Amino acid sequence: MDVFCDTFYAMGTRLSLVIPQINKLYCENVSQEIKAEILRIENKLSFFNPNSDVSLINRDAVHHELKIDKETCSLIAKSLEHHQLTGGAFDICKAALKHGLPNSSNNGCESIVLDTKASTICLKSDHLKIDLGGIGKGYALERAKKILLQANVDNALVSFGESSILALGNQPGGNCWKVGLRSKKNTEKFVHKFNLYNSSISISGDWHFHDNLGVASNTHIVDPLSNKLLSKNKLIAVHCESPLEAEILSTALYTKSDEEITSIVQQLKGIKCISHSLQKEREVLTDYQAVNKVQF
Amino acid sequence: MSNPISRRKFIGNISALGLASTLPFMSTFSFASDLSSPSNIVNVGIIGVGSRGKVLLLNIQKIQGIKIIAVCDNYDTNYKRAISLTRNTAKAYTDHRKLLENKDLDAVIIATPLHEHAHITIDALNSGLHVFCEKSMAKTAEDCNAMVSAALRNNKILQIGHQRLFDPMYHKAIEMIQNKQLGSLTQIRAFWHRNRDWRKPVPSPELERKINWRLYEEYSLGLMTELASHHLQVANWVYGAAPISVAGFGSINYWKDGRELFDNVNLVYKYPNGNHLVYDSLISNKHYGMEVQVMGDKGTLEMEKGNYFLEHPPAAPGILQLVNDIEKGIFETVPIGGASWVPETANKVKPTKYHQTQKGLPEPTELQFHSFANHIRENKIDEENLKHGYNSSICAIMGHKAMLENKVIEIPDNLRM
Ligand SMILES: NC(=O)c1ccc[n+]([C@@H]2O[C@H](COP(=O)([O-])OP(=O)(O)OC[C@H]3O[C@@H](n4cnc5c(N)ncnc54)[C@H](O)[C@@H]3O)[C@@H](O)[C@H]2O)c1
Repeated sequence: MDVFCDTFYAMGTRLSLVIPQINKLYCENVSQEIKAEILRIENKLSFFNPNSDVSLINRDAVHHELKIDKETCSLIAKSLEHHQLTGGAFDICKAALKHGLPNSSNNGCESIVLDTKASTICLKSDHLKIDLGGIGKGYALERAKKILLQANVDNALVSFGESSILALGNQPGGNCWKVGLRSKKNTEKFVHKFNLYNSSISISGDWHFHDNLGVASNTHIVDPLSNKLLSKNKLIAVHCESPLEAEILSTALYTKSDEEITSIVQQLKGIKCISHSLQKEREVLTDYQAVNKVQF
Repeated sequence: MSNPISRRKFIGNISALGLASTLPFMSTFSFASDLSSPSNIVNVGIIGVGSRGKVLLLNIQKIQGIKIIAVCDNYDTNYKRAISLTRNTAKAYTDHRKLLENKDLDAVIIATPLHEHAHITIDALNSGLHVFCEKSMAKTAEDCNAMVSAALRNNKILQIGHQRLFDPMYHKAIEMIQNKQLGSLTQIRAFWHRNRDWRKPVPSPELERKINWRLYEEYSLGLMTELASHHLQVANWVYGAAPISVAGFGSINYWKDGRELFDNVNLVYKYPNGNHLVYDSLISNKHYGMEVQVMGDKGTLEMEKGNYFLEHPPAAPGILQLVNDIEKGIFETVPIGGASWVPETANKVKPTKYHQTQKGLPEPTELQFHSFANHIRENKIDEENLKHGYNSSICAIMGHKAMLENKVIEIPDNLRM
């Protein structure tokens, strides 16, 4: 069976698009459109690009009401909403601390004043900066989804850095797309499998795999309580319909304890959450719906 | 400087600086401490201390082992400024011929307007001095030829101010190109866009042509010699050749203020094996800024920004497996990673920056004078740099000719170094 596959770099990682059963030339155009859109988002949200909206806010919105566009405003609104929903765990100000900023202030998202009607933002604290890295890939997948659906592509898998997956429809051989979390100790094995159908999964945590399956450590999540980078030897995978939601929650829940995760997952509907951790050389899998732990 | 005995000491190793030695003339560098010894000081004079001359002067002042003992400018304001910039330590002249009589000089640096490059360079070489001359070399091919002949005849160094030749980021790019990381090259697209009239304020009307020489055909070829020459040099470097023909259009379609040189140029240069350079420049829009985009069948480089893009980055093993499964009608579980995949080594297949600035390394504009001085100490003539200066100047001149005459210009072999 014919299958289209294209990979490109964006947001410091790579994106692969797999579309079965459709004319390749047509897919090529769709892929180009997705690439252009994602690079646009990257330029707009990048912490490092001096011309991005994020840089503009970090430069000009401290103690000053800055007009921003609707798209950026709604992404910040979404971030603030999830700051609430996750009991402060998702914090776009704390996230900026990973760039080695002066750590003096203990201020997080509470110091952001966002007026969604007027589309303005003000950072009410000195040295406060925002970083939308925890939402960028999720938003990019949301946009990719829209482009795919508009192009009448019903079945596709989009993998962003192998950590954020969007699955539309099903793999032609089955009734969904099956993805599995690799065991860290035996990469041939899966510790958990997900069936994705018009849904998304996002993974956050301390390691990723090189293409030769070597394990690389990967610390990038800031604990909003200690303001330090966290390292827990653990991954959190969140499975839900929206890739944006999955992205935000996997980052946020990584910082939380088992009890807190269970309670947040119970409050939010339609969300599955798994953690995969290494405890004393053993791989432990926790399913927060079933509230059960499996050891390997 | 006269005594060559301790020269050996200066010869630093380029690789110690982390610069790829893709060019032979990069091989002599030094930041050794005994550069302060009087016998190793290179005495220079700067002729033309306008905006570029000032930049060069300030850069040279940072360099141990080069002493500015003379300055020359025939415009009073800049003459006085040169004196104050050198804190009265340099002898000041208004006529370059008088400066050339100064017996203590080893070399001159020429940053006069384009039409004043050739005759001053030739005078200096004939006076037994080494010359650093700003790009472009000259306004005509005849003048360029005469400059090269004078350098060869007098056995003196003639270095042209193409600072990109001293930029580690460019060296890295050239290395990647030579390693076939872009595959087969087919096209370069380069552009330089600004949005301003390119005029300098003129204190009184009779100084208009003296100060705004860039706008008049008696003195310059405008965007071609002043901006394009840099990217033409880079394109020749990338292709390892000079072009064989050029066609293009030029217009004055925005700044209709009495200027004589194009404010809008579009050209195509053809290289020996069918490679092209598509170049354009304008001064009525700056949105796209400047860039040199090098395209091959495997990848693209943005040389000014230092970005590298692969045409087909490798997908993860899990994705490759998935594609294979679908092709064979198999329905299996796709392994996915942990946290986001990131490229393993900075050199490999980075989506963005392929080059990090090295701490402690001088800027290319300064670096080119370290090289110049070391070549003088070594008494080493290196034609590689001159080749770049010559070929890019010829490219600018021929491009201008193509636009003026509205026809394809074949660039003859004897105008290629
Ligand atoms: N490498 C680069 O990136 C770069 C950048 C800018 C300019 N340039 C080059 O530098 C040169 C000068 O450009 P600029 O912008 O400084 O121009 P400018 O007009 O600011 O300066 C030229 C100076 O030369 C003086 N001068 C003219 N004729 C003279 C003579 N016969 N004797 C002594 N002094 C004389 C003028 O009075 C003026 O002070 C040009 O060739 C230009 O292409 C190179």
